[in-house]
Amino acid sequence: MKKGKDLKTEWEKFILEGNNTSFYDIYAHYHDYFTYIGIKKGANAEKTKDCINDLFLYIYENRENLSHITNHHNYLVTSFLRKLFRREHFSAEESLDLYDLEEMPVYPSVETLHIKQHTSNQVTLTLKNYIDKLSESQSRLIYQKFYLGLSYDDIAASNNITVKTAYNTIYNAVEKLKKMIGEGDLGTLSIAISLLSLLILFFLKIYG
Amino acid sequence: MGDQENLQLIQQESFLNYCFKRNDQDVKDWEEWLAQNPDRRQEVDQLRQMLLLMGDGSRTRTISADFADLQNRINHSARGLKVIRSSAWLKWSIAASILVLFSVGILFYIAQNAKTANPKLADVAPGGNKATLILANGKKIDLSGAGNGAIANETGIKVIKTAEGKIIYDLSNTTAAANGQYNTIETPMGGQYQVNLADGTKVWLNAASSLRYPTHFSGNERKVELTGEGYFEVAHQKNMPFKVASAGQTVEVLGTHFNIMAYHNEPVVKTTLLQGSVRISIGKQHTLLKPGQQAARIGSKISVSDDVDMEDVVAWKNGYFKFNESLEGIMTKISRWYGVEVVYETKTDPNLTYSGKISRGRNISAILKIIEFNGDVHFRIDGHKVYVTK
Repeated sequence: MKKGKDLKTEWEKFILEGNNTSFYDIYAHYHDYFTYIGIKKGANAEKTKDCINDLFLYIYENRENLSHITNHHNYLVTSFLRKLFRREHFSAEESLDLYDLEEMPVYPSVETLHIKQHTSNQVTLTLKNYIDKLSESQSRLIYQKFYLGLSYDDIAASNNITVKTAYNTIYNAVEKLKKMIGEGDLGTLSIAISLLSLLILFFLKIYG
Repeated sequence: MGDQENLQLIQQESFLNYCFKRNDQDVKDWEEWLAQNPDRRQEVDQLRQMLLLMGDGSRTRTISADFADLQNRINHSARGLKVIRSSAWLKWSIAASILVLFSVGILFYIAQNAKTANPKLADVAPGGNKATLILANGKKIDLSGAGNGAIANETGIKVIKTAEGKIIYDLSNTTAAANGQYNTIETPMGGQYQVNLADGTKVWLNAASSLRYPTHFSGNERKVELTGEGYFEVAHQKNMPFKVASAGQTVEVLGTHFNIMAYHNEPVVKTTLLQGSVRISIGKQHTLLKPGQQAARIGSKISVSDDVDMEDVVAWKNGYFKFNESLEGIMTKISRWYGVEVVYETKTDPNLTYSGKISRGRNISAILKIIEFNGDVHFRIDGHKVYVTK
């Protein structure tokens, strides 16, 4: 998985050429990272999202003026935290603290990518339809839990719900999907996975 | 083991750490636990896979929604309007709906002179369950648009659409003695569909294909017509052979599993038998196939081969591309599934074979990037055209 610092090429492509795909790649990456940091630091989830979009709107509109920025990662992180905490400046100590942010847990793991690739079209479509049918807030909680890997406690606090509600909402979504898989002909999932473990070993050997 | 007990595992952070491989100690602990409780492994594996896919799907949805918001704000901002060109935005919003995840390597290459692949490609989403049903009276029903449930009634025979890209002919409420009327199902480029015929035969239609069949079989044979590619699981009926007419040949069976590929733009018509036995007839010439054999026909000449990988043949039906062929062969398959036109700006080597396997649910860029990885060709995507370049 790429880290933010690896997105230098994308950053330059966007700043110098206004490349939209690069802009999207940067957005998607930092969306994960900032949502993770925001919630970890106890900020409200909705506000975190607004700050992310405020920042990227600014960057989009001012790209010609941003060509002097050499460390895009630090620039983005600092700007984001300023917005999130409504602060113009941070003291030297605070800044040190800020840059000492946790790296995100590694995702998507090599395994996720492989599972995605080896999941049949049928299952992928069923899953996509299912996710689209969830309420938006339900889908956000699942993103925060099963993609960003945040704790139930952190998720509850930043979404202004109780831990019990956070847990139940996520549990219900999993249970419903489980039922669908049990009923339909998606039962092949587990067979695919054991085959996968073998494949992964194989790939790690070649590309690792 | 109760479902509930298994599902409750998701309450434990250590279990989730194991699922997402975030913490070595937890991975070790849960692996040990599984070793002691082997009966739980299958359930746990399935749960783990579900969680990974759910997390990933929810991410795609959330980021797409948030990005759409941002795009909206940019569009409505005075400064933004000056910079934005509408066509670029259209393409972009399509790209935004699907996240481009880079792939580690799905295809196994014969040649392994790895070079850095072209880092960015525009993208095209994969095909899906799309088809049009044409009823006996000529009425057309768009199956991707129609809701689930009974969608038509053909002289008492119910046509039922189910959620997973399938229609079923239901005879249970009819005493249909008369000859069935003919229906046709057509898939576009980028479409696939399954039909369960009135006799219980199951047919999977690949992209850009069509099947014409009676809503009810009577008389002494069951006859259908195929163009493009279809996989058949024929319900056994003694004394009433099942016949598939396609591209000038007829395949005759009693009950068996086989695949026919008869696209107009493929030089060869291939009939592959997985189970049972079939007879292929072209005029008065007959060829019998045994399980595991494939008949390749060019014009009226048929050659039968024994060493065909069955998995290659039915990969499409199981949601994969499985390649073992030249670049042009691969690109023909890709063009059908993604609905794109392929334009060659460079000569390709027909003797260079690529082999590999990848899900048909991925975006086109995932496949093209891996082919590029081989270093011989590059791709450029412009709308629905894919350019093959040096």
